[in-house]
Amino acid sequence: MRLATEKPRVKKRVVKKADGRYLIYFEKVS
Amino acid sequence: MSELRWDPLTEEWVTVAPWRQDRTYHPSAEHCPLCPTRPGMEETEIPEPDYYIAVFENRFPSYTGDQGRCEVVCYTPDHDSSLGEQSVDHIRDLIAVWRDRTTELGRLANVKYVYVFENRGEEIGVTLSHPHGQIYAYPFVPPVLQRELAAEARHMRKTGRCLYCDVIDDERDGIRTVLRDDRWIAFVPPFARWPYEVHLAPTNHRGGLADLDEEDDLSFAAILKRVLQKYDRLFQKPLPYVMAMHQKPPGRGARHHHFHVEFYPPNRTRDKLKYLAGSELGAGAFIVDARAEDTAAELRAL
Repeated sequence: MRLATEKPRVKKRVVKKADGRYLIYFEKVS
Repeated sequence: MSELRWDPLTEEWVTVAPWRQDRTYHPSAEHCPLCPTRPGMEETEIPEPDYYIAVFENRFPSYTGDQGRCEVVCYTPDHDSSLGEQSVDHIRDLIAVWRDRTTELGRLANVKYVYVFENRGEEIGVTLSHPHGQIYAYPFVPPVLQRELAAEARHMRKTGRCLYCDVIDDERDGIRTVLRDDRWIAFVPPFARWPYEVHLAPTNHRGGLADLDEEDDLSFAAILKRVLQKYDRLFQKPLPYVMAMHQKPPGRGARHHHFHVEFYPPNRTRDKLKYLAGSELGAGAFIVDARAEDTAAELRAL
């Protein structure tokens, strides 16, 4: 089971595309 | 929205999505919609000039709105790469992405199952060669998973044990094992339907991606990469496959469902493919041209 205290490996940034669909950029947590 | 039609003979849903006929079909590399948008070039699905891993809603979805979601997972901005060519560290991050999407999509009101998969190679019907996978959040539990979950529930009621734990236990002699470490096993199951079918599974009971701990993730990433490297060494060319992740449904099944990943490469030799034909499609009875023990030995030796 994962621990809530675990440091995430990736962070996400959600953007809305012009046609309304979502796009999520996952970036590495350094 | 798609139309869901019920087949009373098989008791399965058929999803009708006619707009998918118009989906992007084998664009040239310079028009790839999954590459980042290069300065001065037309905008792709990903407007920024670079990315690490990107996920977006499929432009030609089978399920959308209240029905569910279809997402595309771009593994890398490198058009000419593949999942197996990513570093173990990158694959660990992909596992984190698959887990994030499984959790988030599983919370949607009408979603009954989240399915992470990859189609690789033109032989499988892939229309975009850029390395990517997909995630379908279905408004029903798909039939293969439905049958698997039912068999697991029956086995649990009868024996008190997880069915897939017993399947793994039967691999103790290693005759069908391709790879193994202290956390995961890769093997050709005795009931494989495809000559080079491989199952990857955690040896400890886990229901889905959300149940894997950090050590599980590390082992999963390493063994996934090694299996894919073996696949590409098998015939000295990129091997087409379907990768199918069998997780528990959202909010249930954790006790009797055992998370695993199934790979179905269509090749039976370097140049010959297995086609689903009369027996498989018309009668649902798979005829396989090879013994799991032999193909496992081949893969093990690579």
